[in-house]
Amino acid sequence: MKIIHTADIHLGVSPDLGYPWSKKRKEDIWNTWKRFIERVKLEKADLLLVSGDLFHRQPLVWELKEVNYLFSTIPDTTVVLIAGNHDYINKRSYYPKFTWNKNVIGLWDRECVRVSIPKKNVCVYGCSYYSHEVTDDLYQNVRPSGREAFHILLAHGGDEKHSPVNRDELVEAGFQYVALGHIHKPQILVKNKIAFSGALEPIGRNDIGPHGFIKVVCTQDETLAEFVPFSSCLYLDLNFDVKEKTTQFELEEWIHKAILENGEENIYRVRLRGFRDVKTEFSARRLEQSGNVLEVVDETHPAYNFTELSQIYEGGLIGKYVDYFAGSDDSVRKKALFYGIEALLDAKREL
Amino acid sequence: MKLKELNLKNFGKFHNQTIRFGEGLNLIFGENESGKSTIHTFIRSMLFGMKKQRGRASRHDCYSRYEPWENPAHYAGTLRFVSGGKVFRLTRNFYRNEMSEQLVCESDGEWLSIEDINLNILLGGISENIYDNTVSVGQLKSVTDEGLAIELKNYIANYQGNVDGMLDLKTAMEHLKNKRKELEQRLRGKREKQELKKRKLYYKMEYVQQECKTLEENLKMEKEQLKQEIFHRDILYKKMQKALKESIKQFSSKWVRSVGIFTIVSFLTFLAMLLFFQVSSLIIRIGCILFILVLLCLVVYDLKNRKRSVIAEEMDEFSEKIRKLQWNVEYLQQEIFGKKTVVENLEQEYQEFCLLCNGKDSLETDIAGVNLALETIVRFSSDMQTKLGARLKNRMSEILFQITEGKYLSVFLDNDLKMKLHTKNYYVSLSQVSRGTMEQVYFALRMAIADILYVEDPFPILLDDVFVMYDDRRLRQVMRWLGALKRQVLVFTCQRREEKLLLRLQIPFHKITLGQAMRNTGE
Repeated sequence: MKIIHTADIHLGVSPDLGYPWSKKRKEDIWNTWKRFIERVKLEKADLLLVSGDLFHRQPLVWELKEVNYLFSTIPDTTVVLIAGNHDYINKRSYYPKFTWNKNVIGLWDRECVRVSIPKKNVCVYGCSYYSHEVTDDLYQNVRPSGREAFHILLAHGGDEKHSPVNRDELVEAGFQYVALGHIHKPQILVKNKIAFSGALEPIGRNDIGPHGFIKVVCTQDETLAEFVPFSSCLYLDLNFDVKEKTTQFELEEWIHKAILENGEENIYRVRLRGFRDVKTEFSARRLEQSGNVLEVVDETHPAYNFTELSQIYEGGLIGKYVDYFAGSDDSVRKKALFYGIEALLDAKREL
Repeated sequence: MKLKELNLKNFGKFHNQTIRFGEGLNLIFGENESGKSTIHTFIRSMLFGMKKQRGRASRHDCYSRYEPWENPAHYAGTLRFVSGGKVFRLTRNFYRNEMSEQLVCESDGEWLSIEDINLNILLGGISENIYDNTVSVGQLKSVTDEGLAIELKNYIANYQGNVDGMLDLKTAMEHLKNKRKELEQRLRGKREKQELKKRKLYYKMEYVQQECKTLEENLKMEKEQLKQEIFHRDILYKKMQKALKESIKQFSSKWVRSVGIFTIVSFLTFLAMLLFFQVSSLIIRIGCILFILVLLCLVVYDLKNRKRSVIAEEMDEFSEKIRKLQWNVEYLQQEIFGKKTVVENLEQEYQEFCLLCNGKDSLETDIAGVNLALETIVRFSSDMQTKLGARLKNRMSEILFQITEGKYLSVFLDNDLKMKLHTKNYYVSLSQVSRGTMEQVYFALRMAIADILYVEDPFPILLDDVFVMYDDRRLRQVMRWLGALKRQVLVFTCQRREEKLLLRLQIPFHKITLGQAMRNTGE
């Protein structure tokens, strides 16, 4: 039996609000969802599991219609849905009211239910969120039961405020596969057994790295789960080690090249590290304008030799100043040291 | 540092004039207009250069004042001095079109560049401002400029025994304040952008809410209408019922009549049939009777319906209307439901964005850093100032004590160098003392600062006719103090008092008479 496991599609979200690509990304997420369903069809999957947060917010009727239409194009695949913390069920939700296709099963109950799918010889378990936060472990007491060959749990959460998941208990429960959602980074908790599929597409600045779905092949003897990268765009970190001789133009050129190398469709977080020339200050604004750059974090420090400064100006204000702040890890104190020394040394030179 | 020799190639009225200074006390005597102030200015110009001002101001600036009367193109001079045990020669050309300077170390023949801080280091890091305010005391200028208080703070901040460069605290603070301004501006720009986006979201939300409201009002109206229509229909229905009853009643009264007529007519017809046609066939006879019966029924039915049909039509119209209204209501209810979800979603989006905006920006750390830097620098400098202030006060008190022969015991100084004097019995503020004493107080302050700031290789002290207001006793005390001072002192005077005193006190000194010097170099 072939299962496709996905979660956290967040349809309807506008990622990186305020950035020029926000609108395009919103469309991208819809398009990837469509492409994904086409892929499910190609894979001839028996089961499509969506472990919550299909929508970023309460889905509207037209949105459900679109999704339902796509589901209707894969009639041989049984789709199992649950609502997550973003599209949780409230009195307005259309999820339970909506008339779904025959091949769609929504587990809209507040507590875990068991739904058997006889023609696939499988039984799915799961429940839906009814609020934005759920601090109880929703899946504590679920155990597989019945004569079906396969038992699969759909779960959403995994952090303190969203149904904390106890890994060991889940292992003990004895499901063939546990399809987890909510954490956007794909990760396999127990090989071939328990996994977060991660978001299908990265949703924002924190979703660094590859994204896609998980393909699970179940036989009587074993289960094989593997991650399949699928997103149309990646958020990547670019780290640059600044040296004293590094200039603004050099940095700009480097970023430009790095973007060409790593793909122009991707979005980048640039992090500058190391020691820059005392007199150089990089313009983050210019770097951010090179397109596709989400943010530039300038962690460079002016290349002052504080031990030396402390010795040269021992007893004077500068010496005292350096000694006062030196070795501190506090970010404000660090900044105070750099800005203060810059100003003091600058004032010295002007005379 | 010591001045060794001046050569005024062409400066003011001087022409190729050489003046040599000795160590310790130098008495430069010259009558009025003999060029004492010119020499003073020359030394200053040699040390710090001379800039010609532009436009109208240039008419009275130093440059024009001391521009040579003849041959202005050779506006130049040489200064030889000793610093750190080595002899240096500094040559400058002041002529505005050929401004140039040259610094040579005569001891090891090295050429040095003035542009770098070389000269500044040789001079012991003295700035123009501090020069004007401490070591060089001009005529009638004993009172220090406002600048001295600020300079003093800088020097205190910088003070470390042997400073190899000067730190301008004011510039540093300015630098930091500008930085803060820039950072704040950047942050504000960012925030404004966010605010704009926020407002946009908010308007969108409000718009949908408004739509929702309109829909709700429509719904209310439709419902109202529906209610009315239903009411009207009910009335009509009742009317119809009534009409029906009436017609039945009418009919029933008619019915009796009709039956009578019918019986008579049928009987007559029957008789007629029997009599006139003599029909014998039973089937035809029954058929005829049936035909007549059907005819009769039709007549009755028509009678019954004639009245009712009008109301029924009206009734149908009503039902159609009501059905339409019901559809509308249902549609509106669904629409409102959907819109409310949209509003809720937008509200969430708005809240999330607000949360994002309220998050700490990395720029805030930078601003906090700058503020901390400002605070710390101020604190440290005032700490050091307090410490050094105490030393300054003591030194100044010492000097004043000696000059006034113990009349003033000590001086109190505040941060802006405002002073109060302490005699044996009472305090006096500076405004209460005589002009002479005031000059002495400032003299003491200048000397104390010069003393404290330049411990190693002290700079010569230049005094341009500053003792005019001093009485003989105090002048004697000052001369004693100067004589005991272990540094080069240049006393410019137009009176013989100083010389007589020095001779009487047997203080060694080097005398330069300006009129003579002129003649000397003429050879």
